Amino acid sequence: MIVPMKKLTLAALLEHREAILQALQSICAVQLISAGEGEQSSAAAEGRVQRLQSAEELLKPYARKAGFGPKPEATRQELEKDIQPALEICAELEGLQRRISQNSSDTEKRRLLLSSLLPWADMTDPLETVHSTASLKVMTGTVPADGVNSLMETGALVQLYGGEKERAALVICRNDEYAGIASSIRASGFQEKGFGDIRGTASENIQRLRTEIEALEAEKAQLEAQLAAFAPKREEICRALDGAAIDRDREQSKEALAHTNTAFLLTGWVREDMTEKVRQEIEKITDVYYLGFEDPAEGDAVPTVLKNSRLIAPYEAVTNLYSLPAYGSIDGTPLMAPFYFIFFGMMLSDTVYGAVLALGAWAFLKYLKPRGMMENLAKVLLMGGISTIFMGLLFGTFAGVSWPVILKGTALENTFPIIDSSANPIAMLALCAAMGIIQMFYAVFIAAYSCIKQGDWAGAIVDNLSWVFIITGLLLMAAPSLGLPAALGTAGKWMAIGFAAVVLLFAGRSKKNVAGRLMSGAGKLYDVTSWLGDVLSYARIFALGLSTGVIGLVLNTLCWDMLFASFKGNPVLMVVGFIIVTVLSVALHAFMMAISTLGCFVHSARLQYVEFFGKFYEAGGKAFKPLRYETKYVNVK
Amino acid sequence: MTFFDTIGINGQLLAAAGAAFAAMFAGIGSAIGVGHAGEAGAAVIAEDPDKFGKVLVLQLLPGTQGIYGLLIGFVIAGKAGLLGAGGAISTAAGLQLFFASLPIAFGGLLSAIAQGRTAATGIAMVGKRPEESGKAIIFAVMVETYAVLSLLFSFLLVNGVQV
Repeated sequence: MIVPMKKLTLAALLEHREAILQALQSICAVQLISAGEGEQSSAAAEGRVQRLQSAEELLKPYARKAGFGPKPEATRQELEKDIQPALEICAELEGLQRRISQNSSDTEKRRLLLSSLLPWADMTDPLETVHSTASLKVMTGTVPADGVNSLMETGALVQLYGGEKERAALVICRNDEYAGIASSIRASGFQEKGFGDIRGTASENIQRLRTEIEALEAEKAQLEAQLAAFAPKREEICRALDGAAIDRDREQSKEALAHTNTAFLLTGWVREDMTEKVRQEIEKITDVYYLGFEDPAEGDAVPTVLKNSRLIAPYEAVTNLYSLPAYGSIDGTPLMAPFYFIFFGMMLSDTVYGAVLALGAWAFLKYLKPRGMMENLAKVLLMGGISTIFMGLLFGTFAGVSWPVILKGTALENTFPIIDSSANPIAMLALCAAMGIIQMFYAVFIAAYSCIKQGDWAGAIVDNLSWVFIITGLLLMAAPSLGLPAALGTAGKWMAIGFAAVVLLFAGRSKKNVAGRLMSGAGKLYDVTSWLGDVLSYARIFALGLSTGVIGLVLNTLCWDMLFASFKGNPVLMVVGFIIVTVLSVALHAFMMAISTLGCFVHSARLQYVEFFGKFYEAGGKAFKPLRYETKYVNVK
Repeated sequence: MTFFDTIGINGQLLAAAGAAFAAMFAGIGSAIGVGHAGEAGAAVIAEDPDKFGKVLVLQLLPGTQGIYGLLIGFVIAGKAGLLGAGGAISTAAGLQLFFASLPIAFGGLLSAIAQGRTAATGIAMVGKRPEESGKAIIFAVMVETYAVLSLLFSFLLVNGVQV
């Protein structure tokens, strides 16, 4: 069901603002409505979060991979106490990081210089002596290998040094000739590049740079070792990060409050069942306050919260995946949950897969204690696994082996599966279609009920219930072919025709014009094709069940009848083969189970979304986002 | 003597062609689809490796057609006795099995490619809004419906063949 909401108005003294927000954050009950005129006070809090986050990312590569296990628990106070020490660690880390990046840029600079000097290693003159004189133009630079010849032909004196694609070249010519050949020197691809203020020979410099780079690299390794030594502190930083995020959220919420010099005003949405709790929490802090709760007004964007019994609540995850219901409409979760449960089981339809899935989900819930969406999904899979155990017995297989083989020699040999979908596909298809019709009729009744609740009787009968009669009539028409009395078929025919006429005449009742009215009635009547498509859509239950069973059979045949059989005769090979084939078939079954589970999960969901919700559900609810503890690494007690 | 017999094509050959068609074309489709989705996935993972789980689920979806094709191929092969020392089947039955493979062969081929594109776009969406990955999955599954229907019809046709 959808929890009724109240609009909360709270006025209190500014000095109690922090305490009141802390209390509200801890009970997770109020979503603030922004008044849009509060102070911008969250920059410092946001800055702390950013710093801790970068520190966390910096340490991530060095930290131990988080093992499996539930998140640790802590109180908010503990987390907040961690922030200050963690920020000190941050400062040290930031210093280290600066030194590392300084080191890298120094190394990079030297490497560049080194690579530009390497081709000159054979030049014995000190670099500072290579320069133009009063009468000679002396240039150093590079020339592409294929430009060497044209450079030679310019008439200048050219001395080549090392380099492959780009040769280092010393070019000398008389100053008075230079103007004449400058353009042909350039045309050869020669690029002048001096040595700046480097002193000493090229090889001396190369030696010096290599030593310096080595020293820098040693320093870098040492800095990184220092960084790695901080890895154990990552946990503290993560805790502090959660604490800082909690602070930041609360600081940001202040921006939503209007205030004067002495008092503040808070408006927000609160669950009706939490109003007393909110009052109690505020009573604890102060008795100077005004607190009012009103019903939502027309046109308010009221957030939607769902509340269901423990068995149904996990299926809210499936509903959320589609869309929350609009506030004031019907929550589809409890209505679709039983169908989802049954359909999932029929699709996966292998008792062993079901048992493994249920056990896996149970262990996940027990040992990792997930929260929120993950918890609900795991519970849906746990229930789906239980459903699969039974549906596997009724319609499916046992790890790909058919039940008659498993139950051979027992009294139940010919009982299970009650419908063997490979041997009798038509019966299974009919069963799926029947379940589809049941679910869609149910949807129609829900839609009719909500029409009647709003006093729209015509809508209930013409737009919704008529279809139940038309489809039932059409089904009855097939009765004679099943050996039922012919009168039933005739009655069905007239029922279908009668209600088709109702739809034709009244579906367009909002239109004044007779022709327009009939046109839109005829258009509505055409929906009969979508009913046909929807019924066929339930055939996926059969198809997915079949595919699990047949693939299981294929795996068993490949592993045991073919691979293992090929080892027969040699006892040593048989033992080794048995082990290998067992491991292989378990792995293959596990893989197929994972893929099938994913398929069954989404296909069961699709039947709810399109075929079921499509007929009555009002999507578009907004999620309730209360001020709360939103943490990543730690669960707050 | 039918036309096929005169040119030397018997029932088993036709059935083998059908089994090969089902496994091959649906497999090609899945390979293309999963490949498409994988490329999109790598781009998202480059930005944020934490999304690997969500992306992998989406990449996996166009892979089912290949499995369906394998399934029908196997069922045809079993029916025609191609997996062991089976007896000969009639040319008519072989031809029936061949045609029975076509829905999943081509339905699988094209739906897997289309689904791969949908999944790739969905993966890009997960890159921007990871909380909406469920919806991206639903979009991809809408395409898969038709692969499931193809599988179903291929199976019904194979099942109806008398050998």
